[in-house]
Amino acid sequence: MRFTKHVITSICFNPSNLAQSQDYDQIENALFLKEQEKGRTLLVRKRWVARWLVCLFTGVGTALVATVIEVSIEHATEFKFNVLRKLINWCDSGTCMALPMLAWIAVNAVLVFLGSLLVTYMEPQAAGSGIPQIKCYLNGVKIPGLLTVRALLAKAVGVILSVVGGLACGKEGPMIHSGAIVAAGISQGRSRLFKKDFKIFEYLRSDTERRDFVSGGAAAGVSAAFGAPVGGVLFSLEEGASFWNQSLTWRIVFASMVATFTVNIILSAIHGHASDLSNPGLISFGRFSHITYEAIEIPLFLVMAVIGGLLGATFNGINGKLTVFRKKFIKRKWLKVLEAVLVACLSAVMAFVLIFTVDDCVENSEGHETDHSHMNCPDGQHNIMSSIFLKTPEASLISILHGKNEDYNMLTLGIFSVMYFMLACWTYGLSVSSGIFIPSLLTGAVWGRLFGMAVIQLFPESIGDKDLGKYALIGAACHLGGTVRMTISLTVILLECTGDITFGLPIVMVLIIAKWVGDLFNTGLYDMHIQMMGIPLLPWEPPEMSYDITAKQVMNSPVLTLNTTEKVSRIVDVLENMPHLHSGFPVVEKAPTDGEASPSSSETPSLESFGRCKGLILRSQLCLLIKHKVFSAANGDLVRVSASLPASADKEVRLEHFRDAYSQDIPSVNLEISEAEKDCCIDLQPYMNPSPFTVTMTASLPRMFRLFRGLGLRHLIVNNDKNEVVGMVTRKDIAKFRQNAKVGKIQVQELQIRQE
Amino acid sequence: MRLESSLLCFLLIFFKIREFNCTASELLFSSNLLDSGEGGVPQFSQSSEDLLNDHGFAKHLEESLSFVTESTPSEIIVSSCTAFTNYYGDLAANFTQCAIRNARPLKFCEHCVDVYVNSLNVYRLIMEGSIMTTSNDRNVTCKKILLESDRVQIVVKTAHFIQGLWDECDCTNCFEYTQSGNGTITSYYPNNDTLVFLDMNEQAKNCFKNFSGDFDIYGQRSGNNTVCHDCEVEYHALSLFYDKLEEKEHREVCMDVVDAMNITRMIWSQQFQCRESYDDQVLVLTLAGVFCLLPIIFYIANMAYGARVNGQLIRQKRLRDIQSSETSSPDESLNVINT
Repeated sequence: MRFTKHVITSICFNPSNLAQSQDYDQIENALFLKEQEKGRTLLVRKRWVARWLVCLFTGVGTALVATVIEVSIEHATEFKFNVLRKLINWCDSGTCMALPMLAWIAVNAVLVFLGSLLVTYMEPQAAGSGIPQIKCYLNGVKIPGLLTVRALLAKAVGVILSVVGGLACGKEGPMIHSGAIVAAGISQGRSRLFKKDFKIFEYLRSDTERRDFVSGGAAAGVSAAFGAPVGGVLFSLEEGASFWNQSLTWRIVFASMVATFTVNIILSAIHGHASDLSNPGLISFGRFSHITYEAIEIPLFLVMAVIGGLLGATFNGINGKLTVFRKKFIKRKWLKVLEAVLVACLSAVMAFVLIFTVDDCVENSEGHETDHSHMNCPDGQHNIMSSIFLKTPEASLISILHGKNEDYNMLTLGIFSVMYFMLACWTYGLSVSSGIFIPSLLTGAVWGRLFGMAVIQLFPESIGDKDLGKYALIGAACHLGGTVRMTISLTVILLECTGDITFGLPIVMVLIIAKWVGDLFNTGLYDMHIQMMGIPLLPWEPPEMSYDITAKQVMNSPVLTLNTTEKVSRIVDVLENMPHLHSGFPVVEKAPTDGEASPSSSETPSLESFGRCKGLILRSQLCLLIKHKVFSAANGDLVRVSASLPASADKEVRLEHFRDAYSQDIPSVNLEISEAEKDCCIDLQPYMNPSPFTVTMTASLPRMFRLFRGLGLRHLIVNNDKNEVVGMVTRKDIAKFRQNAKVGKIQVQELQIRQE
Repeated sequence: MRLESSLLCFLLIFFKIREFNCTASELLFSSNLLDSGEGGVPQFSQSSEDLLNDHGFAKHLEESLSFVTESTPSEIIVSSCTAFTNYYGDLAANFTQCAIRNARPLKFCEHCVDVYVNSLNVYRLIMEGSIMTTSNDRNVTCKKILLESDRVQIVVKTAHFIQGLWDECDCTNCFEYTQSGNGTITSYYPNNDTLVFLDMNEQAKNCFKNFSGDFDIYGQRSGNNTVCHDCEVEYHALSLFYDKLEEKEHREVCMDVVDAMNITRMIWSQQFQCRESYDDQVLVLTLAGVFCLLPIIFYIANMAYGARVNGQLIRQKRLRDIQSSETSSPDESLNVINT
């Protein structure tokens, strides 16, 4: 090579935008131990205070984001629909109906175009509801760009644009993601986008701490979105967190309560009564003060639950096929934007055509033309369809839940539920920031109300309380439960939103049935999307009937190992040319007596060993060591371990540096390594993890699974009986093995990994 | 005359001839009711408050009572409060009657405003505690007797009912009030918008009247008529005015106006069948069709020409002997972990 200097700028970046595992394992190297010796009490206290402070700020921050979203959407939609309503009513007498239609389409298209542009080009991870991604993160998979300020901007502004742009989506899912970002950001005390380091909470910069805060942030998001603090905590527990403990729960409850409380204060102040704290959350479904139900209605609710489960499974099935199609064929960014715009146009067209053609009129009981138009209806009446469509999906949901029995006709509800079901299905998975909660609830509420009407017509005598609101509520619960398959948290969220504990039992029952029915056909929507994103999520339990699979079969066999004192040139070489599947390397000590092991490295791979296991070093650590040039002049003499390592290494690289590098790609300073430096050596021993987790070759898959799942491992070294490295198991190798439950037959299936 | 009537009243109360109570109190305040006139634009010049706050009234009351019944003071004291409650009871009864009579067609605000204002003023008088009586040699307000003596508090409940009905109809928005310093309504009159609206509504109805002959008893169109054409100006002016009013009042127009508008609209659209037909249905549906085609084209084009990139499968480096035996079919991309 002619160049005397070798530039390694980009090797430490992730070669592609792929998900990485997180490092939950505390690296107990010499640096760590040294830090542990000094100032122990103070640090523990400081960290304890900091954790609570972060939770407080998370709650407040999430609430602020929530309020901004809420208020913007409220004002923007009011303006939009006022203009549209005026246009429709103005045009009522003439032959210009195409005009409001085109106006509607144009408004939707422009807004969604902007929203999609923002998401697609600024931060693609902000697409969708973000719940699947957060779930992956909390499971231990690091997704690049997921928790950045950029994502927060794209998410929050994007959701305003897509809701105002008339897509069939809600703002609740994105709120959860936003809360998670706020928590992650605050706990780090710095922002990469603004290149600003506030120098606070530095001792919280680790994957473990951050994970805890993110689960708190997700809970705060739910609680700010629904006004349901306990539901938020349970959501975080049920859907999100894979790691949970008691003291964490209490901090999360605190964050959730703060979030709800802050939203209350701000929204109350905005609506002009600052001292009144009765504005719970961005959405409350309105209080159901007196729901009564009778024993005879329970079977009816169960029938609804079955319907909900079937519809949810249908939804997931269709959406799954659609997502596969999108992944295969719609890859370019501008095509994604175009698709979102098309959906926005069609949403407007559908709404308009339904209002226009379904002549379903109802007399203005109030007389106030608040939120509907009397298109095609005689004066003095209004179009029912318009009273559903000329609102945000959320407002429609509230009026469907609380409307009077005679406000809606069966025809309208029937057509609406079918059309909206398909629209919501089409919308989810677009490259826009959008949530699935509200559309699901709305569809469910509409068919629930329809169901209630049918029941009352069929058995006019037997039903006591003829309020259709409860059927709408049950329908909403069934449909959402059948789609996302949540149970505990959804129950509590609905109870907290409606404020009626007496309706708890029916809701629990229908959610269970809806989940069971849905699970017969496919998985929940979020799990399905996680699977399609190709993220190696580890579920709660290992696959059944997999004890016959051992580490020997699972592990990667020729392992790239490093010696305890390694030449710089080799490390650079490894970092540059290694397939990016690995980000950790076993550090070994070659046994000098074992003469026959080294020549047989390629010929007899079945029993190949790579030397005695001494520890594990991460790719990020290697990068940092090279960046700081912790070299010792070794002159190629690898055996000279003890004397060569000067104290200068400790002076240069301390634990803070590693912490600082945490969650950051190494900044792209031009690292220049001369030929001379290449001949130097690095002693890895003070930096490596000297006690990595290891198993023997006979360990079964469930055993390794539980190790990974319980400890949040990233690498698991497989040793033979002489404590010599023979293989390595990573999260992907474990996650490959899926339990595949086809109808009537359960089997373990191994997936393949595809490079894209 | 006042003195006499009040004397009469309390004498009657004292002797517990209840049948006459109403008459007495009606006598007492009939002058006010007469002042307000019938229908039209009531100008309420002299309020009951003036009357009740009149020192003469109170003095005479006391005098008369003490004069007649020195022997049993407590009886009298209760009675003095009863005088007010009785009067209030009459007003409430009148109000209820008035409300029900004017329920359909709804002309509640217009016709019941007098009795409402009267009742409001009397109630306020009772509640602000200016009516003092002595009970067991202690000064007690009438309010205290009414509010703290039982749990039902019928008077208060009645007052809430009256106020609730009034607020429910947003009647306040039909009128303008002038209030005296302590919140008592001294005069009230319909506001300008209401007057203009009623006037325009009358015009439209008059116009409709000319054509009523064209309709048979079932309200069906019996001959070719031109009502839709001839009354269009009046009707649309009215409709437009109403829409503006609604916007101005933040959709809290008083119910009289709302109901009048609704009835007129019903007559217009259902009885006269004056509905514009939409000629642009074809246009709208064509546009909708075109827009529905767009995504279909989009997806088909993407399917046909879209770059279908299938990444290659990465084979895991494993021990060789196991590798050969353990192969499973790569499924859909759904089942593949991509890196």
